[in-house]
Amino acid sequence: MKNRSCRQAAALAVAALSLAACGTGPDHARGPNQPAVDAAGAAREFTAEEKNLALAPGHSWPADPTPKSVADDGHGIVYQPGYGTTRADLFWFCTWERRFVDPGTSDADRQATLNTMLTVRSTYFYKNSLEPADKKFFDGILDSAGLGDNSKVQNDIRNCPADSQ
Amino acid sequence: MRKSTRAFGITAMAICAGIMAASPAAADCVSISGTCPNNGGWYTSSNVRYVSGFLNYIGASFNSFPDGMQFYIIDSHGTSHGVINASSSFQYLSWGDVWVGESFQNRYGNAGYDWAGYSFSGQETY
Repeated sequence: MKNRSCRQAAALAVAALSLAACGTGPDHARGPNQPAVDAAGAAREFTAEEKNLALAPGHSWPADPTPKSVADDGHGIVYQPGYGTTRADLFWFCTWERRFVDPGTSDADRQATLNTMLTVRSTYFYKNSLEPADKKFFDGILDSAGLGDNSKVQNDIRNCPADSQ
Repeated sequence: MRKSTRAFGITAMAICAGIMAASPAAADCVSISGTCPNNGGWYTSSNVRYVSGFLNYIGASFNSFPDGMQFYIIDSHGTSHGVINASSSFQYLSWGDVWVGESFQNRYGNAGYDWAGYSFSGQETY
């Protein structure tokens, strides 16, 4: 009985030492890796999404939508699936935003442009890439545009890539 | 270790709650979580976030934060802002140079450590 207790104590000591050794690593749960695509994969998403969207007149899609594949520190960058699709949706939306605020756009064209902008709600970006709070903010841009106030659209254009001009 | 992690988490949530109570419609304080990618690389979220409040900063705090992990944001033009290293307390990612309506995305990684798969969780304020 005493020997058994000793063995149990020894086993516990070994277990404790093992745990201490494991403790040199991060004290956090390890789960499955998140799905990811590389920069080329994100570019393929972008190009695929282009086929679903018509840019505002006078605009064209970027020749190379590939995002950065390597960070400044030399490590690779991967992207959450949907990143490229989201960037394409935003590029498309930017072209229509620019048309909406263009002083040369007629009232009739501006209304038609607004109607196109509102279809953003059927895009991957709107449905999948916005947290509720961010969706609420984005809806505010659309709502103000619907009321004839283009200030929030004008402000949002500051987020647009230069090549959507 | 677990106890202090929990304490950090409670602190982080208190900061979030305080900000929301101060102006519930003027700032977003949202939960964030993720898992470090393989090979010490960087993982870029596809979620697009908008600075919505009167705050002139973007910040984050964490309930759990793997050693060696780094967390920062990239603006819509690809410029990176702020880096949080191995800390659970609230830190600024961008201070004074953000504007209401500015969009950004989160990027994080484990900076060369072979600890892929370790997850984090926390809150982001913007």
